[in-house]
Amino acid sequence: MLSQESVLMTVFGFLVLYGGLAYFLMIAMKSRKR
Amino acid sequence: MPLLWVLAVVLVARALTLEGALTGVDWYLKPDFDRLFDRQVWLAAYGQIFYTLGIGMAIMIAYASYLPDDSDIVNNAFIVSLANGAFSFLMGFAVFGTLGYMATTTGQGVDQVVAEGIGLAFVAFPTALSLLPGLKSLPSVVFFACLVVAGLSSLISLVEGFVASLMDKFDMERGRAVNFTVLFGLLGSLLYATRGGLYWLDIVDHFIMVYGLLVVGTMEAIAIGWIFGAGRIKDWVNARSDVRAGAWWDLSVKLIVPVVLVALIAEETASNLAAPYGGHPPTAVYLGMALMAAGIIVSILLSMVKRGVR
Repeated sequence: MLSQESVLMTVFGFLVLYGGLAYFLMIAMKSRKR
Repeated sequence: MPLLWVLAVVLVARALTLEGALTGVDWYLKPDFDRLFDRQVWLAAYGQIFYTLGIGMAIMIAYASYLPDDSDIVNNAFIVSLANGAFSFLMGFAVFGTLGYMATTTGQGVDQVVAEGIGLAFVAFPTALSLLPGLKSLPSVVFFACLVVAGLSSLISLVEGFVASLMDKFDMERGRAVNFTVLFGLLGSLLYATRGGLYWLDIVDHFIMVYGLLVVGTMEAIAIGWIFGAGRIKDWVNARSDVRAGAWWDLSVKLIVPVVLVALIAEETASNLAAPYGGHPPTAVYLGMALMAAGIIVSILLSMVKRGVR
């Protein structure tokens, strides 16, 4: 089983990296800039 | 590239469903905050991110020069960095899930399996791929074919940094510049095909890819932050970007990056002088240092050559 700390790190990693990526991609898609 | 993402997700799914996978993942993600005070961790982290993003190798500068004038540079920088981190983070699950499986089936600890050597991903990935049910060797063929294409595209970017400089500096045609670079690279790489090749690779990799990049990174940060002016670049970039670079950019490029890099270089130099890197003979280490210094000196001399000299 995963320890509680590892679960927290997994959530943190996905939230920061994929959340951040989604946020900046969204800005790029809304913008007309390349 | 999209196919590589799909395969990566399949690999992660397979690795996580293997027996003992969670032991490996726990080893991968369980934080050990004491390591934040370990110089080697920071050195490895800087080396890794410089290498994966291609910073300090002229790639970013060469590719950025091909962007349209109205490109949103700040947003592009965030997307590239986060996509790189996101993919690496995801692949960590595939690697460490498989290592957990390997540790469980061989009755070893994950740390023992990890200690078995570099290039661990090249052991973990084939293992995970071979364990995909009912598909035999097809996933391995597709995955490694994708990896070859990804490797070649990385190689093209490495060549491009040098080629673009030759074209700009010496007004050289692209064909001639590429031929010269590839031939020059081929002759230099012959050293790695000798019996002592792996030792050479280790020494050159350490001094150029870790040490050299830190030196180049520091020089770039000083040149941009203090000589050209962080504010000038920020104003230019912000005028074209939806996402704006704030005061954090000035602080980062002028202070944080140079200070951290100089501290790492100083520590690394002290440890290299105290004991030769990797147990190699001192002569080999001095040669590595000389190679790195020669690279930097040649770069400085070339930067003094006027643009467009034939």
